[in-house]
Amino acid sequence: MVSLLKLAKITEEGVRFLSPHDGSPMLLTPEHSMSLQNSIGSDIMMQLDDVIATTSPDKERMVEAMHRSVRWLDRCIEAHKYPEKQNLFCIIQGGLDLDLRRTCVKEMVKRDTPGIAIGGLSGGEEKAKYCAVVRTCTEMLPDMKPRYVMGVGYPEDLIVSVALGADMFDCVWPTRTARFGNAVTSRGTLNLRHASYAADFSPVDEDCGCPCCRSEENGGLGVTKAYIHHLTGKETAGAHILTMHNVYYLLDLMRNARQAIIADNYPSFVKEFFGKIYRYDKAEYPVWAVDALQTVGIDLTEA
Amino acid sequence: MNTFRVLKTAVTDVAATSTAQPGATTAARTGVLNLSKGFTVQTPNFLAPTSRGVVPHLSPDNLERNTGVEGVFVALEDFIEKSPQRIPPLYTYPSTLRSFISLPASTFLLLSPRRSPNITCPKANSDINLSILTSVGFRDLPIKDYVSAVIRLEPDIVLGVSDIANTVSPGKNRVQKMANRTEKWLDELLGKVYAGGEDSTDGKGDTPKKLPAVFAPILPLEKERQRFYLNHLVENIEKLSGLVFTTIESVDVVPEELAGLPKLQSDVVGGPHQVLEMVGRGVDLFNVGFVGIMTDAGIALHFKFSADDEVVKTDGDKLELATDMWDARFATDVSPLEDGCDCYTCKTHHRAYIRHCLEAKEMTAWVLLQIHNLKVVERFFGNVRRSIEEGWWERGRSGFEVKYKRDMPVGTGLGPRLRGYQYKSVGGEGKLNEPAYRSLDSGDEDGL
Repeated sequence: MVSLLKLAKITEEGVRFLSPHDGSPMLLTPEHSMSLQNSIGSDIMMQLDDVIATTSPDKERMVEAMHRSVRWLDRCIEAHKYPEKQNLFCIIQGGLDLDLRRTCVKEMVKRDTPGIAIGGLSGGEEKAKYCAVVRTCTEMLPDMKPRYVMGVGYPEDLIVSVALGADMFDCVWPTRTARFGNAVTSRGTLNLRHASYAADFSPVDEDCGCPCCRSEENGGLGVTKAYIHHLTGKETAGAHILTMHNVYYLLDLMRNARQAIIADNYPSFVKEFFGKIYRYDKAEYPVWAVDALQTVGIDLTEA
Repeated sequence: MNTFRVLKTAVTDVAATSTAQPGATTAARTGVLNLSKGFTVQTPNFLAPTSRGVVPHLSPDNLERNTGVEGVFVALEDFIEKSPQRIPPLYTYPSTLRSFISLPASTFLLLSPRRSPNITCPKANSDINLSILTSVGFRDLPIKDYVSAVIRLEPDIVLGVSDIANTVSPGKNRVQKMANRTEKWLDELLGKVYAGGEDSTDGKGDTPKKLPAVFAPILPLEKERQRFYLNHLVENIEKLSGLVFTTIESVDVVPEELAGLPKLQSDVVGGPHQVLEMVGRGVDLFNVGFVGIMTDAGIALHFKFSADDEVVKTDGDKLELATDMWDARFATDVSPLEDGCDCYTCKTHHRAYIRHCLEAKEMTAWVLLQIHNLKVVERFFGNVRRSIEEGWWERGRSGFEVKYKRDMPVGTGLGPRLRGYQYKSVGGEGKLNEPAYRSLDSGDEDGL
């Protein structure tokens, strides 16, 4: 429960908040969370956890949240009705404190859930600290279980996190930013609301094979940056079109990452990825990414 | 060449007309409109209104794959801004308007200077300018810009510019000016479209240029008050491919000589009863504004034009034309929006899901409703055409009247965000959409 934390109150029993529909008081407990997810029937279920912002200076609260998340995991496992057909993932907490994270990993791995999530990140912490937490966790996690880093979606973060050993991600950013008129492309993110795109009649991303970017001759819509600029914030269909592009771009990025890993050339894939965004100007490369990749033997600075 | 041929005019069934308004149901006709750019349109038929080049809620791929929309109504005012002050990007676009908005190749495009219905501008038109509303405010659209845009943007149908007064009852001088300007502006348009006559080529050898079909406006005035203008239309009939109206009454001022032209009603907000009344007066094409209004309100259409013999119903138990999907009784209703409907929405989703999406203010709700609502209208027009061809138009029309309520339901839920070109604020109004989440500490927690 990291979203909308100000609007909720957390006790050992669960999370109290007001219904967004009718304002009535609600209590979400680990048991109730499981019962809801059991009736939804999702293939992956997430435990209810206690999360506070990683940037919080309250060390004591952070420790409490980590231990409570472990206790709530036990309650979730206990309440989960269909372990044979729905996969319950634990969520590792502990803020940016690597020792807390290690303790949490040890405790949660013992519970032997089918998949493991790394939670609480992507809340405005320094990128270098984010990478340290991901790396600390993945190093200790069993090989044969999926590792899911929650709330991550910037292309650079995905590519670096994969290098650090993460498998799965989720994020609202690609679709939300599409609604705001931002296009995620192989050359970085473009804010198509900017006046400079008003008369830019090129596709959103020249290298993209999505239905929005493909030309009409190739069975696509042949949408231009100028048309997205024309629609953004004014007609929802503009959001639909750009969402198609952004989702396609990220799926394609991850597809290419998988192929690169299988072909055993992930390091050169990573170099090409950063090179394209920063026009191979190494001075522009983000330091956190260079450093994090260094720890797993990918050197962005070499030719 | 743009041509229109009337195929069949409805036969009047004496028994049925005795209960109907005299003269109101005799002119219904089917026809076929062939556009020079390769479209064949069976009439009566409808166009979907667009906003900024899109049928609201539908990306071009959805429009092509999941609707049977044959034509769209596009307004040039949607592509011009008050600020920044610069040449509208559309004017510098190297290709056509159809390509700019990624319109499916199978859909024809009608270009109008203004949206329909549109917001009345505070500033009056002048001899050379039309007042328009852009997304950031009012400005002038020079008539010469519209005329040259028509040539560059290559629409399939283009509407002449009408000078409508921005007051409710214009005075005698203003009325005369309306007719004079509309005539002058039409001549400018015709002059440009037919510049070079039939000899003009499109630069690819000697193929004649495919000219857009020009529809001339009929003013919302009595016949006598636009007599000279109407005579002018008759004199130029060779260059006209159709007529366009904004009010029902204008249909009756059309001179006999122009009766063979296809007639477009550009402003249909009243619903299917209004459409049938106008079909009865010989209108062929309809810009169906009411569909979008219903979709925005979260209302699903479900009326059918059929030959079924129905018992005459009293007002109390007439059927609804549509249903408000915000209603809580649909929360667990897993049936389709309309039983037996073959649209994408009805084949794939149920009422409970659509209601859930509305409640969550998820854009998908309006996408699904728009797909369904356009399908209902497509079927409606298909059946109207069939009724005229098969000779049961009159029975269908009167049956529809006794079967369905006159008015559309009133929306109860929240629509998608309203924008300046759809809605004019009057100041001092409260927020339309209240925030869903409230703070736990704000005094609302008495129950906890």
